[in-house]
Amino acid sequence: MEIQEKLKKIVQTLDSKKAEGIEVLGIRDLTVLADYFVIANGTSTTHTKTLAEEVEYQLSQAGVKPTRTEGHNGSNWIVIDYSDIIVHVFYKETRDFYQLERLWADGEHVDIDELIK
Amino acid sequence: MVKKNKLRIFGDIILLIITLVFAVFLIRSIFSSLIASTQPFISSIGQLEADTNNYVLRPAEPGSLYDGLDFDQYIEGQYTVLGLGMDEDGLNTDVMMLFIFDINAAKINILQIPRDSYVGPEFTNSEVGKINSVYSQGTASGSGINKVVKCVRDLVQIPIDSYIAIKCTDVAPVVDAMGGIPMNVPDDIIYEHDKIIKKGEHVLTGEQSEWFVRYRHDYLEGDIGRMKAQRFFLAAAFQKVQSLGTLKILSIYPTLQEYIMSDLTMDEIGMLCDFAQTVTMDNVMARMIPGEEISPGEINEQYGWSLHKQETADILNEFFRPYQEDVDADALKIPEVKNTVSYYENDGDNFGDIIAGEVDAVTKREDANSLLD
Repeated sequence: MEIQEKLKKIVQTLDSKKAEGIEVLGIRDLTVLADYFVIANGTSTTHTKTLAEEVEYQLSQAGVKPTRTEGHNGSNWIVIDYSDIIVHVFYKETRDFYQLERLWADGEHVDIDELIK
Repeated sequence: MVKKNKLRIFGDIILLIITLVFAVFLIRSIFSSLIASTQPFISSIGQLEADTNNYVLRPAEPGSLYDGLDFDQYIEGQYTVLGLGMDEDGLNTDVMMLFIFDINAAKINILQIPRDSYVGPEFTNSEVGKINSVYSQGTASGSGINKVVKCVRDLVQIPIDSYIAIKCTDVAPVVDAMGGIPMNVPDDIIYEHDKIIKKGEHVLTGEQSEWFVRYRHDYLEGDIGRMKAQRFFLAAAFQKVQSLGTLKILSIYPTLQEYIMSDLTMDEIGMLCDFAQTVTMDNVMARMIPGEEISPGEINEQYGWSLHKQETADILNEFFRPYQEDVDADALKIPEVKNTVSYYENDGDNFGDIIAGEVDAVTKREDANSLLD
């Protein structure tokens, strides 16, 4: 699956499950960690967990498996690593606490409306 | 004739400018691709020079030490990081710890070196002769970090693979990016009259973490007491790193890069975080290098700390050389000033015990400030 296609699938899945504040950051020029961060949050820990599970499920249906995931136990911050794309699903308060977008402020903001279409 | 010359000079200058611009672009692109492929932390203080000392290893089955990790390491199976806490000016290394990651045994051993340890004129040009001055006044050639690494390595005869350094004033933003450090604070910390942490369970903010690791005034043993207190902080921080996990640590990379000085690459940080997940708290030990206080008049007009040569050799051989042959005290370049203590105290704490609340709070002076109930 092409990276853009993957990105689209992740964002659409999060949007379909009513994730809040979906943001896509291009960080290729800043780090070797990944090309994109997708950041979103759920409104409850259950919602947060559902969002992460749905992303994993939808991508696995397309034959894409994460290289690793972290944080399923606590459900306040779940990270799914697809190597080129890292998905961060937060519980709302936890997201405000860590403010990843602020840390990666030099990243390129990708218009998600284009991806959801 | 004059005109032609002027034109030629003008042309030369243009050519020079174009060449310079190209050179700058070329250098920049080479550098940015280098950064992209290795991605170290700031490393404004540089890389380590190669260690050419010979370290004798204990006999082992061929290949039995292979730890499967893609580290550049002097001893397979072990990775050694020198941890430094610098003062506000970045001149003195007031916190010094040698972390031995025993990868095959899933253990971490931490050797704490008091900042007042006397190392003398062989290592520092400072008249006071203390180890914390080696970074800015060391006698060895090379950068400050190389002076310190050479000094520690000569004192203990253990190779050092990497370093991590941070200024005391930069602890706060790093802890904040980590989301704070949950800790059972063992005793009241009265850093200043309006900077107080009460005994008990807290999530320490960055600012509070700085107070905790710098607080010293009220400890009976001063600096040495502070080093014991820092074990509580290290244990709590280690637990936080474990609970965050590798991906989350790497996700706060911009902050780490801004405030931490290290020659570790991002991959290596990831590997160390992965390794940390495999280590139980019971398998992390912090020990102080054995020694005793020096009073003014004994070597110079300052208080200081004399390392004990034989006791240090013993503790190193017992706990800090998982794969090295034992090294005799004579081979350690420790200038022992005095050794009047006839007992040998194994002064160490296990992180499992600290987290379980089984380690007593650091003893305070009788006239220490206290909170009114």
